[in-house]
Amino acid sequence: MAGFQPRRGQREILAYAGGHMGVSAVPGSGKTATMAALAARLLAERGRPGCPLGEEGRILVVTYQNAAVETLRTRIRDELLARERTPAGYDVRTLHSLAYAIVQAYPGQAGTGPDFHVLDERAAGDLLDKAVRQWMAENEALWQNLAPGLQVPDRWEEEWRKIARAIGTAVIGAAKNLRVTAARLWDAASAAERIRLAGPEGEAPGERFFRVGAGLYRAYQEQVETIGGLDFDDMVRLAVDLLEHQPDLAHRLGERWPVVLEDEAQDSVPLQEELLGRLTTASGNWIRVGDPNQSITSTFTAADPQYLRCFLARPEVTAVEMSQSGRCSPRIADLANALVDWTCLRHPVPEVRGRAFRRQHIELTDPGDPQQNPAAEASGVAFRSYPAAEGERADVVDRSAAFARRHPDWTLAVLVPTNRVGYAVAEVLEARGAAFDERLQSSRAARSASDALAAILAFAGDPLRREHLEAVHRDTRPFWAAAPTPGGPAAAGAPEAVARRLRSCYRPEVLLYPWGEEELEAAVPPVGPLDGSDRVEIQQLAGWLRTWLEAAHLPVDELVMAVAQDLLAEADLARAQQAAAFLRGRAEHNPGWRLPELAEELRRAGGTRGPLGQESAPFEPVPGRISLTTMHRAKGLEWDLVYAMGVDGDWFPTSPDERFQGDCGYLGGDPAAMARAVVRQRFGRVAGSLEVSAAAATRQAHVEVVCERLRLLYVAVTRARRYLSLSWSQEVEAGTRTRRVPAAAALEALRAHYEARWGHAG
Amino acid sequence: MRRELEQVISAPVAGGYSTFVDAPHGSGKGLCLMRRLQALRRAGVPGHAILVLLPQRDRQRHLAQLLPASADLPAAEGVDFLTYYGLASRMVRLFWPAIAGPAGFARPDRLPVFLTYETSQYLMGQLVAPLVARGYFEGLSMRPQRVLSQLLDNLNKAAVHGYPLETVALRLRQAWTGEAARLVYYDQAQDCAAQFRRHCLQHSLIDFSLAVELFDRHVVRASQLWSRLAGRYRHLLVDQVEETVPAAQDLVRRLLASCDSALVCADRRGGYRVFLGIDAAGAAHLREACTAAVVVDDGAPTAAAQLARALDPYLGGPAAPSSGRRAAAVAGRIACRYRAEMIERVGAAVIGLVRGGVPPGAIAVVAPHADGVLRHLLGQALQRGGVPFASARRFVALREEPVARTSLTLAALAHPDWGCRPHPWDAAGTLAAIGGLDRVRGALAARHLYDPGTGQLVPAAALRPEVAERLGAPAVARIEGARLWLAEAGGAGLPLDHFLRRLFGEVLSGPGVTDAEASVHAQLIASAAWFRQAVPAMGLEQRPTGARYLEMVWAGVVATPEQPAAPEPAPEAVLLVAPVYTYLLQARSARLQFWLDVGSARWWEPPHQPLTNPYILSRAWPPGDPWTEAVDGAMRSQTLRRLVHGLCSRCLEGVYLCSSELEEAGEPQDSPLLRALDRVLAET
Repeated sequence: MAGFQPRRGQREILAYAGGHMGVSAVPGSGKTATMAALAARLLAERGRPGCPLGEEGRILVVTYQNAAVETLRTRIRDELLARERTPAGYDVRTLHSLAYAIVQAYPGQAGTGPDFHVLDERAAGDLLDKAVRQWMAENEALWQNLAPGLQVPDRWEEEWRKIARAIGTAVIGAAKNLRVTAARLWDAASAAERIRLAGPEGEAPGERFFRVGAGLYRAYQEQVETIGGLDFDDMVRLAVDLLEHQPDLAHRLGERWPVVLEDEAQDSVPLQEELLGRLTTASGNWIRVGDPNQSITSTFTAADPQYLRCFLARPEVTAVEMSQSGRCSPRIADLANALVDWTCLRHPVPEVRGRAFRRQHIELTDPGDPQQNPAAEASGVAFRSYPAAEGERADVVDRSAAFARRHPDWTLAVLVPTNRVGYAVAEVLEARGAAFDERLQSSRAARSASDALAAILAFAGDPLRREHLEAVHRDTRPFWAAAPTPGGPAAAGAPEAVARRLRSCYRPEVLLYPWGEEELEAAVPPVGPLDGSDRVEIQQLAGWLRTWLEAAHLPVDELVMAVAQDLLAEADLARAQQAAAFLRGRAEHNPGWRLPELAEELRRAGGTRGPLGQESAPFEPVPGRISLTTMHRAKGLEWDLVYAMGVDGDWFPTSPDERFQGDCGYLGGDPAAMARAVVRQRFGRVAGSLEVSAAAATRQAHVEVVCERLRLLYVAVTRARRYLSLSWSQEVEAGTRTRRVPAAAALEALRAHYEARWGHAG
Repeated sequence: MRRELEQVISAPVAGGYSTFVDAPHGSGKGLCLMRRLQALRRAGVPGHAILVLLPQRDRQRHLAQLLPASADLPAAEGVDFLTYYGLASRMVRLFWPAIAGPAGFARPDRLPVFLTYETSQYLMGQLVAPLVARGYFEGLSMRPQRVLSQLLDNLNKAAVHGYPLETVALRLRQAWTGEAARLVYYDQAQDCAAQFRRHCLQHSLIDFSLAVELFDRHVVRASQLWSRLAGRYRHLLVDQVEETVPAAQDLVRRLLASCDSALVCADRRGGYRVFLGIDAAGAAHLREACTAAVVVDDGAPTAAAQLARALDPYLGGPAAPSSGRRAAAVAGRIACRYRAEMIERVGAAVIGLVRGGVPPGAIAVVAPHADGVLRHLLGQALQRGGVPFASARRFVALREEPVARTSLTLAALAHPDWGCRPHPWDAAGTLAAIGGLDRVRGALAARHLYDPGTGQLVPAAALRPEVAERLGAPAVARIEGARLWLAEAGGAGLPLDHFLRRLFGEVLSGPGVTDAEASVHAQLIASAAWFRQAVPAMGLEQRPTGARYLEMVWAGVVATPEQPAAPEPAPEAVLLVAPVYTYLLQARSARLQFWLDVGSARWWEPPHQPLTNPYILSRAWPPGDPWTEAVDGAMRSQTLRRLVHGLCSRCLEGVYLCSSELEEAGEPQDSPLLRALDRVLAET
């Protein structure tokens, strides 16, 4: 095993000779290395008797995130090169990318055209918003009757819009994962309605919201289909349909990929299970690797760690545990194990005990293992409480910045519960002048490229607006200031002074297209002579603006690429390419839109998980620099020191009876959860005729949240190699106000355990 | 021209002598055909007795260039150079009184209106909309435009293959092997086709499919009318017969039996437009109907041809003897992570070649899909490098042409009663164009001289002096002149195409107008004219035709591909950037070819579409045979092999293979072509 010394568990996996195998692996147990080594071993043995790859088969590796694709690809390539083998014979894809490839190869059979348009989350969200508007217009009496109290509050329409959107999201996601079409769901809802109308009994709340969801699904799907679009779930669903109804296609793909390796199987959704199950029907060679205790997407996707656990329990599956991990110090590994034990044995809510975790402990590596756990004495855990969130941010930033200065060879991270908190921490870090790398929903690098493109489009859309002129200078200057013209001098103006001038520019046409003897001064108020270098910089800017304005007649995707080609570096070109495709799609969906609307669309997309915000390159923590990211996005990474912030009872609730986001007492609970429960009950694998009570559905959804947040805490804890700080604030910001939040019961339990086991935390 | 073809030119001109020429690309078939035409004329055959049957209209221009008419004998004078559809529609028009009644038209006394592809789409769209609202095609994720084009495809396929329209759904159903629930779409498509046909018969409308059916059933198969047709065309010359549809081949077969002489030319490995219903295999059978055949061999294979043969076994074709020269065909490889990067490097490589002495016309850049980003980025790079180039596209949406946008905005401004109020951004661009202003002053003009609330221009008299000064008196005068002109012309009640013609002549034309802009405008006028003539006959609810036309163009309906003002073939001296199919249908070779996006799945285009399938709907398809994944793969591989051979036969020296790891949408690229190339090159 060149370059890789397997441990217990890993050896069993590397001895894989075929069939179904399920691997439950604790954090830091070397999943990626083991998968890469297995892939390399199988490829090295390809063509030998007994090798499941046969003569020409390839290995398909399916993982969850784009960033992991690159990591796995590199590791497999390195393993093969270390064995002096050609780095070929394997494909690493995300689930969506795999589904895309299948549908793209057979669009006609899938019921779409070869130029189908993949809707990202934002585009799908926009269509859902349209569907909600349409549904509300057509069903006004229904939703107005649901308003609390006798009077329809002014804000009810807005409130209901949010509720309806949540119902739509829940029902559409659940239905698509169960491969239930909009027409079928609508028929089921209509049939139920007919029965209800014929009978004496009233309608259960869940049924009512299910019917709302069915209507929204129908309206949404009509929008999607009309634009020739497919959302992510559609793509996977259609791929599954193709494999089901075109057995020879499944067979051929099975021949191409006789072995399928699935990474992050704990995040697998039912459709993914079905797709990979069908791909491996003929060969039967399917290896699923995951950590059920790190499943942190189940409340906002159809994922559920139960699927992996069930797979591990199947009789034909060889279940393997990878429990040894050299990542964390004994103190931190013990703390993580304590969290699992407390939850499984002593959590106040019995349902949580059985659902949140698989009771698998992290074991320390054996003596002689190449990766020894950091020593207990050179490690520690701190539990900190702050009166207010602002103080927590300031203290964590100060401590982390000081630590980074003292230990430039160590890696450290600040983990936050939400992107919003992350942006606030980033501001403090910036204000303190700390060296940090941000890995939030949209990175600064992505945002700045996005901002530059959006500013240019906005300016080209309406060049008369002063704020556009100022913004286009501000947002594009970083890209051209070093060399405003090829081979020319760098921009030397004072940015603030130039910005002031531009802000007051009342004749932009003179700035860009002066006539005859018109001087630059005629474009701005005569408040004083222009400094020479400022004048040069403004003229440089004007040169760029003329170029872009002259390209403004191009279709929007060509315009974006034309601008990007001029302005952006290679890494940003890829982002621009995504932006171009995104805007092209938006323009096609909205034939009445022109550049001003499209510019606004790009601006909005830049700040969310839009076309420019997605990262595909793996993130590598840099010693001496603070990594700032969310607990969710920290999965798969590790640092010497981790500050996990916001570990309060609000984000990490304990009881399903607390108030949760989405709850509406006057509607009987959480309408989205109720509607989703009906869908699952009607069409799920264990569909039954028992009616789903509103309370039970809501409670079930709350239990899911409680469980998932516990797993999120587990992820945060296990990111730390040596030192860990868990902190929370008693008062957090809520809009423009603040509110008090309780402590997280899990945090208190961990503190008690730690102090009992290791003495005072600090 | 190859020597074997000389004998064809001097073949007998009487006695029913017919020759079938089977020759590879580049052997001089076109020149042979034209010299045969010259020989016929020299032998005293009048022009009107000769029919030159073309696969597509722009071939006439190409053929004419091969043999310029000499002053003493204008070879082409009086000769009919027609496509099959051109002949069919001409004959239907000519024999209308005789065929309208028997064909089932409700009003045989009413002259027919011929629909273009655009107007057919429009009519189909109008007829299908209520059905879609009732749930037709629910569950299919396709843009409406694509649904319409597939419905029209079904009509056209039934016509060109010569079977009853009513059997289309049955053929598709019998071949379908997927989910049974999907069969309903075929029935729905059949309903739509039937409704469209009924509407055409009711309103004397003739689309492509009906023209073909009428011609085939009521002219070619009707003895009296046929004898008039056959009596006129005594000499037949067929160009690229492999690119013709079966109905055209039936016609050729019948003419061969009755004419005095004939020459039928076939490109051995051609036959690319399967999606349009052509039948290369059927065309090859015409050889048996000819009295003689001339076969021109392939000659010594070039390195590129050897590469194509080496790829065959990896693309589902026969194995070829190994040859070391296959690698020599690869002049270079450009492999990048991102597509934009690949395009940039292609541009740099081309510029390097040109600076090294390779004439631009000796280079071709082909891609399975020449999208806007490709054309723009490459165009920019080539422009910077001073390399003259032409970019060919299969279809052009008129809304993407600035000239068309300006004209249509002005049309909307002139007709406020249409209710099509221009977007202020369009108004700004338009005012900049007519005022001779830059974009900033155009926006300023729009802000002060356009009222988005009413969708009309504001009199210049209302302009504040300081704004007038910023715009300049000449521009203000031009805009005011245009406003007055629009008010007058808009109020004159002119049909849209007349309005556009006047607009171009009186407002937009001038010394600054380029040929390309004039060509787009001509295309727009022609398109609007067809639309104006067709729409009143469609029997639709009353709405201004102009408003309907604007909506159609803004919705992105493609320009009719067979409009008379189709783009000129690129001059031989400039580098050509073209989609693969377009390149293959243009009769030009290159010393060096750049194949872009070789990893793209678009090289392996799927023939099966949700509502149609050109193979299943072909005459050759055995009814009842299932369309399995194996068949699908085999047909796609066959098409891909044909493309590869076609490209290689047009490549004299070498191919640059260009790919990016990620395609436009950011997904990894992986195509059978790329895999096959990797394997072949690994072997060598």
